[in-house]
Amino acid sequence: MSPALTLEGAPPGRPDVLALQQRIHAMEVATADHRVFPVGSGLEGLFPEGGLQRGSIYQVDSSASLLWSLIAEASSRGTWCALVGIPDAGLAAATELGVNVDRLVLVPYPDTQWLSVVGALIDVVGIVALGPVPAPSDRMLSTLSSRLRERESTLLVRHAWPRSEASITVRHTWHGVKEGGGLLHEHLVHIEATPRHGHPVRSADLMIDAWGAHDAGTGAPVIDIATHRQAG
Amino acid sequence: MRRALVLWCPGWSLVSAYGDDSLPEVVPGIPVAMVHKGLVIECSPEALDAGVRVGMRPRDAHLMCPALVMTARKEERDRGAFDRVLIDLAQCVPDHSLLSPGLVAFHARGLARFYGSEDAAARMLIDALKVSQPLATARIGIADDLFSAVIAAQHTTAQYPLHSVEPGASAAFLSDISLSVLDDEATVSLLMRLGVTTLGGFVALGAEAVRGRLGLTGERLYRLASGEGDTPLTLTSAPLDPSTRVELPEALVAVDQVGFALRVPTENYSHMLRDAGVVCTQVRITLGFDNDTTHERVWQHPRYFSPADLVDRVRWQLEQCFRDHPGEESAFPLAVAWVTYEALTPEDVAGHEPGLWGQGPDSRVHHVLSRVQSMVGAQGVLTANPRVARVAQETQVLTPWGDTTERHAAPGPLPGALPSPLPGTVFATPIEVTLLGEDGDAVVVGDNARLSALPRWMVSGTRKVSVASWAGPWPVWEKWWDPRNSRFLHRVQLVDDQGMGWLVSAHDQRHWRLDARYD
Repeated sequence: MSPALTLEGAPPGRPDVLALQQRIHAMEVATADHRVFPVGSGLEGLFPEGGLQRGSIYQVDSSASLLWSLIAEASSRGTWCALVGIPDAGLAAATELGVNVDRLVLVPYPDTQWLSVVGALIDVVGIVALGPVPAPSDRMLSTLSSRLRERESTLLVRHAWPRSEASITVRHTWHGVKEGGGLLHEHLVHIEATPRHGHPVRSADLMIDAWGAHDAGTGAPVIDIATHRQAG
Repeated sequence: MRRALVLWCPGWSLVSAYGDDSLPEVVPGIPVAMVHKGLVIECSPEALDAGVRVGMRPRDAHLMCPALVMTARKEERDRGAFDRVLIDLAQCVPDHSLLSPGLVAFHARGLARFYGSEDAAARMLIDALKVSQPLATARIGIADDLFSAVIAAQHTTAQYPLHSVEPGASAAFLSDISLSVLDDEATVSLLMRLGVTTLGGFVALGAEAVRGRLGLTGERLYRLASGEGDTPLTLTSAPLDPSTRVELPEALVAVDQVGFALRVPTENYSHMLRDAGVVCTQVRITLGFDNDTTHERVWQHPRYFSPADLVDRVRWQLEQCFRDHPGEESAFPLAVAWVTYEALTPEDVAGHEPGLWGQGPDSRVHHVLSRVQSMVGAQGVLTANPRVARVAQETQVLTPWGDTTERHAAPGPLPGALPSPLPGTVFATPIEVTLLGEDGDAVVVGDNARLSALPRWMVSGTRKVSVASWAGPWPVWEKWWDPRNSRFLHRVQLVDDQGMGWLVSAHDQRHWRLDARYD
């Protein structure tokens, strides 16, 4: 070996090579995950891919807890999220469920311009939630779908949508109040995702209380409470 | 032989503070002191009469004059205010050399030639300053060299505001002046200890001796003291006027027309700023209407305004104007006759050049959101800044994108705040509802904070929701010590037969408002 090629110090030993290989593997897994926006641990089961597929449209019930739980994980990891045509979203609740409101944009009243607004937003915003809007034409729909695929953004729509990846519905159960006493303190959310292609329905149960959202099945927190508290 | 003319405005910081809108308590006619680095550096005549002196500690000054208003010196404010004076003076003197805010030098010979004599030029400058800034007083010193001219200006009195040192007489003029006017504290202190107290005494030491013992610094001071200072004036033309007024060719009513007519003038204004090496991050836009009313607003930009941004701001402001006065729009359409832009804090463009690899994702986000703002209006794109509150609507704090957000401090405990988990949907405008009991009677809150009947139905218009269970009412009494702003309400949580939670509140005994939904 010529002296010019020798590195300073000892050549890398076998443990170093193993560590490097491990790092490379870890990075490769991360790129595979790139196709989805991550969701909290209780909700992964709703999606065959383990998260919200990029470039897809999901039809969701008009439930704020559902919306916030779906975007919380991606938002806390730095994805920008936008609410278009949803003027009534409770923002304090969003913080409680782990949404990073610094990366949240609201366009409450887009009116007839909703398509251009969404089209502009998805250049930078990862997840757009869309409230009730005037019915779009077929052409608008296909333009929007191809734009979404191109920008790899996800759209959550709150009303019937012809070509959605899945339709997600919720059923609420509140515990804590009875005939004048108590306090709403435990919110059980039963979520069902019905995929478009007749695949089996997937479901998840979420429990939301004053400490955030938990997977009702395992009790594991969907949102890391420690970091959430720090952020708050 | 060159001659220098120095214009000095004593107490300039005070004058600029008088003109500062953010200091309403600082006005002429009351004792005011300007404080810098823990010492009084300037004081108004009223403060002087009360015994306040320059160089005092603020505490001592306060002791002398309890009514004294003290304010800190602000370099930028002084500069900005003096720039406006220089812009006005540029009409009579083309070039100047700014030494510090309130102290400016000119070439005396050109002025003397143009205005007839040095005295005439000085009188003209004094008058011009009076017009530009009536609160300021002008003192003028003229001498062969800049140093002597500054000293001469500082040795004038209010009665004789002009001191002219004859050509060749600088050394004689300086010889009686105290050594402390030199700006080198160490050397001055050394010479003082050696028993040299005047510039004349310093000069008498001899150039060779000073150079030998004090080196180059000493030599420089020696030349100044002997009236041979040859600091050349670095002349610049008038500072950039950061404001511009665009007269529209005709008074225009339609927002789009105004935007179109403004495009080219705005671009020119932006280029002018850019050529001067500044960008503006804060701009005051004044709209002048044909009925002689004006509308003024200050806009901020997280980066800096491009021409298109400025035109957008004018459009938004105009739309806001029309929204605020809808009646006038229809009956007497307001038409815009002119628009002024005033860059409030022009910043050096060097600090705002995009980096070699762009400014990362955030500038893209800003770009896109600004584009959306140009579609739906400035108020249409909002960022959230939730806070803790007792009424659901007050937890929602929304700021238009690009406006400075007030950061709320970490929420402390707020007694009576809405309990967690918080409602997911908060109605922007609460909905009027009626609560009905089993027998169909309206449920009201009694004096002892009890409901008159068990709520069974919640009715709003034609919608009727069956109530499965409920909790409350919880009384909330805010600001009970302040009868005008105090507020009393009862909150009730309801769960309907579908399992959905609702938050209703009663601001008086009978009327219920649906504030939020727990969904």
